[in-house]
Amino acid sequence: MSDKIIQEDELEDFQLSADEAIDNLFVEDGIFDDESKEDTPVEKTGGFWDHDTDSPEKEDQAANKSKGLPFVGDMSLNDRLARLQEYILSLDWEVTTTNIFKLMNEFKIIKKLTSDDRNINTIIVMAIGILDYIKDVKTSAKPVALQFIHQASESLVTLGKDDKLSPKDIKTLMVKIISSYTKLPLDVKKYSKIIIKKKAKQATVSQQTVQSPSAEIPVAESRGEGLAVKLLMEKIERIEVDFKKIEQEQGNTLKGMQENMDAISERLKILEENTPEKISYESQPEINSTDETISMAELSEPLSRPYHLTQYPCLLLTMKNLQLNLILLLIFFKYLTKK
Amino acid sequence: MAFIDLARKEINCKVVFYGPGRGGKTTNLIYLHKALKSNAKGKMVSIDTKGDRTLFFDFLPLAIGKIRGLDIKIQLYTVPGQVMYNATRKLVLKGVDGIVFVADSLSVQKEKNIESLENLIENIQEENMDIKNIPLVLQYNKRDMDGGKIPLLSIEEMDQDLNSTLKVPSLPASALKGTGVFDTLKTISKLTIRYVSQKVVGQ
Repeated sequence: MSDKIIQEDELEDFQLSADEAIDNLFVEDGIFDDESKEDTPVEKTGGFWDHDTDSPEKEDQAANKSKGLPFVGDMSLNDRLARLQEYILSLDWEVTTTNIFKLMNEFKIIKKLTSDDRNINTIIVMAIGILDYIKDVKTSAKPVALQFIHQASESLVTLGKDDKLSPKDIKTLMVKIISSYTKLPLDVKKYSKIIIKKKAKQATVSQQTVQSPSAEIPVAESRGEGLAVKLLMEKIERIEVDFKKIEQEQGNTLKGMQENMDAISERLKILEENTPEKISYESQPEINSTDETISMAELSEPLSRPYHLTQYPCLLLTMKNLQLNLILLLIFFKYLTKK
Repeated sequence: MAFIDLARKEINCKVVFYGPGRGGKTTNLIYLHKALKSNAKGKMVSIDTKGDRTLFFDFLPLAIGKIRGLDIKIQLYTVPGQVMYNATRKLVLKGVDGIVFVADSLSVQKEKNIESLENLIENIQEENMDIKNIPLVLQYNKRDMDGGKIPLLSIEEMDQDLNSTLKVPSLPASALKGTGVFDTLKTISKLTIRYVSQKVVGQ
């Protein structure tokens, strides 16, 4: 997998496609007349002001009516969808209550406009649900949520096209968006995990840049308590899995070490005190992200330390246990030879 | 450098409209906001405006759409042209990917144009960038006043004053009437996307 968002060999094609898109998109609206250009109201006081200067309802009225499409407030479905995309773009830039409500309201108008279309209504119900989540958490909303709103809008545009889609296409589209919706909570959870992991990595890398690479750094100290606990719990889970694997391979030789979560936790604490570098976050398994871009971002970060055995604390525990067993065996042999 | 959101496969490019005070930077944005198709634009925001002067900046987000799976967005900013607001101009210039220098064609503004361009070069240098590397388009605004009572600078004269060393694309325009505004936007958008995509590949 490459760590570049644009590949070198596709640069020229990318630039040509961009040029073409710019030529097609950045054109003056056909319904724009000279008269309306002159009377652009400009807010003249301080603070944030929206230039809601356009009035598509009036401008598009004649053109829309000729299409024979459903109307609400003299606007056709296509115009409403165009406005919806405009509001999404605004929400993209700034997550504010006003932007959320504008978008929510637009979704509701489209729902009313297409009350007989079950597919469109399903998408809108899902989108409003996600908007509710964004409204509650505002700027903390995970990008996957806004991605879903984009997907919902694109799907609505596809469904709202004048030329009707085939039932098969509609089914594919609906399956895709419903599956995105159902896996959204999981994606949000996964994204949160990745964020925590990236922050922990950054903290580790920044520490290593100011200290000698060979220095033994108690990484856990640098993190917040909550994060440390979380990392520890993840480690415990990982070790538990490893122990089970080893146990399956080697029988019950490690059974004594695998009593319960608390006991392992205690052992880890002791291990952490003695050899702090061994629980550094680099020993965490990679989160298998289906989001390619996140993985690419992680790949672009420099490797913080070379691979070595201490990356696997469970093996160290095993080795310690073996050492102990050897010592016991030696004592036992000495005891036998004395006899 | 453009803001690249890997999670959302999105590239946000920043284009700043720079130039002397009352040169027509905000008028450019207002025209674009009114004339662009609604699926390509977001809401226009003016931050702290007094009278016809921009005290902080105007902002207009534009969406080019998906290019090979990447969502490309361009954010247009203006700066306050008045000399005293240099700190704000520096702030708005941070992370710029493309610049439109809106020069005033009025003869009386000749010195102001040169002064503003010098200020731009200086501020760009402070950002550790080279004006010769960054996409730049010169727009000679207010050409609609040609032939009127107020004397205008000729295109050749403006080229001599502002573009003799830079040798960047220059376009005559009238932001009030819309002439040349879209050509300016297209030129700077194409140059900016080339610049940003090459930087992304070179990383």
